Amino acid sequence: MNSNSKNLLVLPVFFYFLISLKQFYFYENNFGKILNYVNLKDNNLYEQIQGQHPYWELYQITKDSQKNNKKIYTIFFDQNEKFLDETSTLLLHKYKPELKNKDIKVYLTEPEVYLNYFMYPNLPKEISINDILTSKLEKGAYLISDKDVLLLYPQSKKFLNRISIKSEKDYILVNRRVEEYQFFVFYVK
Amino acid sequence: MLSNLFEYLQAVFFVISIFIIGDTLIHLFFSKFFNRNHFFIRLAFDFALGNFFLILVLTILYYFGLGNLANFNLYLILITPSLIIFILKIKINKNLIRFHKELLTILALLLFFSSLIKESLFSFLYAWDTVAIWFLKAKALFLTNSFEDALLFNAKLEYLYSHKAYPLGLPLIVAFFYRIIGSINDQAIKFYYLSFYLVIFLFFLGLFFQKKTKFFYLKVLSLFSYFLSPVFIMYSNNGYSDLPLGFVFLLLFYLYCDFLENKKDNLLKFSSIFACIMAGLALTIKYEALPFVIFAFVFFTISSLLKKQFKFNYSLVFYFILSITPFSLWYLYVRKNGLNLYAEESVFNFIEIITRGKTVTNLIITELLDTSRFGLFFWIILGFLVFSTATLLVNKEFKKVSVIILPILQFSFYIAFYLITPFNFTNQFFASFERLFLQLMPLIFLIFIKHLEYFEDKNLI
Repeated sequence: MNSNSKNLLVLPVFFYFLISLKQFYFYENNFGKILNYVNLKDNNLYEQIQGQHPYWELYQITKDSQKNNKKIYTIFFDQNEKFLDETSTLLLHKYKPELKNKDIKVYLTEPEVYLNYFMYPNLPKEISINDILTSKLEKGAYLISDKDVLLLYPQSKKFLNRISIKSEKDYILVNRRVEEYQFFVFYVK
Repeated sequence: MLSNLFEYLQAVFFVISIFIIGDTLIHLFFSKFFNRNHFFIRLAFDFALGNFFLILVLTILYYFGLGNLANFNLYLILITPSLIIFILKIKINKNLIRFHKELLTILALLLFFSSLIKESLFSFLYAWDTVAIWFLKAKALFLTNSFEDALLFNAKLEYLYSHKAYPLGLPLIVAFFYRIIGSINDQAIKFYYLSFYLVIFLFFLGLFFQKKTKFFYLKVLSLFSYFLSPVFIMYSNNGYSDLPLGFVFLLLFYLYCDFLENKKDNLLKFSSIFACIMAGLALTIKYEALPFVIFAFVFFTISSLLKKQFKFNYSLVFYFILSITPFSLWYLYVRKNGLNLYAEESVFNFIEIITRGKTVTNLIITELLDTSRFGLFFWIILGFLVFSTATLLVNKEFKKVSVIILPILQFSFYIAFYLITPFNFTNQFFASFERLFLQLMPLIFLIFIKHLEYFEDKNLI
């Protein structure tokens, strides 16, 4: 094979290489940008990085609940099929044969997955709206919901305060598919 | 006050330690086999063997409730002799200077991927399966000393989404890192996952350096064009186990090709021993490895029966048992404690399979055509492979063609998985296809290189 025909092969590959490089530079430009928002010399580097996490508030209340022995409750209203967790539903029916003919489904959202991870080995406690309205939650406890409980049930304003969630953090992740899921965090007054 | 930046540097040391442990084991037991291999290829096997060894030790400890021993002292016990042997080896090795080119290549590669390295070290966990499955398991293992005691595994109705029965190889390594630093740093350890991606580059560069041909630069450009596609970047450090599994598949496949090409009994023996270890490692990463390992086992057995030079050796039995030990112990625990795999609930309905088959075929084509994920170059490679396979068949190179059957069988398994899944198969397809296919992508590139070299050798291009 002569060098001309060799070049003929290298040239198109070089062209594709440039395309790949362009794609890579898109990531390259965004990767590492988190360092703009953290101080490497700080003794709390882990927390600083975690501060840019989309679920930073959940992480924070988990830490607080562990430190100060506060309870975390959850109430999720949305039963959108989008959030149906088929694995849990299937296994739940397998482990609980009494549910055999019942249409019980397990729903799982991203905030719940993160909350379970942050809280492990503890788990948040699921409660009903009745429990909330009859003020069965102890003072200082946290409540996490997919709906604004204060709007849905204005009477809960007497004993619940909403913690503001910074929906957009300074650092934007570029290589993830964002699940557009709104969540609300409250604490019991 | 000391910044906890040190923890992040420890993640880098930890990864280097895995290389050193693996390298020492190779030096002590398998150096003859690797003398003929390029330094980078050896590095890839160092890393794989180091991982296997750690997983073996950690599985045994956790299985017998001795997880408390998985701590900084164990790390010192493992790393100190390895480090001494490693340093002595460097001192004795007078030809070390010849490595300057390799060291420069590594530095250049690290520089090229510096942003990705920064991202892997200094960003948080964000991927669903990583949080829901892999790192949750690592956290559970860090907090306990045996599988039995971990709430994650023994809570009957909680964490059902975490696929409790999945293998624990990589979470054990992550938990070991947490034990070494004494806390959970799920940010820094992502560098460990990135290492698999970087080592794949080194492995291929090693192949190119080992057999430097006229198409050297073409191969290097192809390597970067292929492996810089978004799907690789995305899964390089997000904590998913698919790229690490792809790396192990690659090495196992490489060993099989090596086994076919070699004629010396000694090398055949080492190829099969290492294939056993790689198979054992793959099984500790994900269950998708099971069909691949079974197919590879059948292929190795048939090929060894056809090879007159291959003599059966009892050491092979020893390594086989050793290799499947971590997987067997975990599987024993899974069975004993009734941890279910949803795959066991699969549906076998012929009409349903036919109906799904049509949809799945359409979905696969549509998905693979998405160049924003798999890259344009993937299709160039695929096109070349169709052409090259046809040429090999015309030239009656059946042995070279036969190796393609292994990834095809594995791919068929993935398709079969969608055909019988108990879940909504389209949802499952979109949630998993790209990462399942990713497991085969490094191996597809190796076939491309092998075919390209054949064309070069025969002066066909």
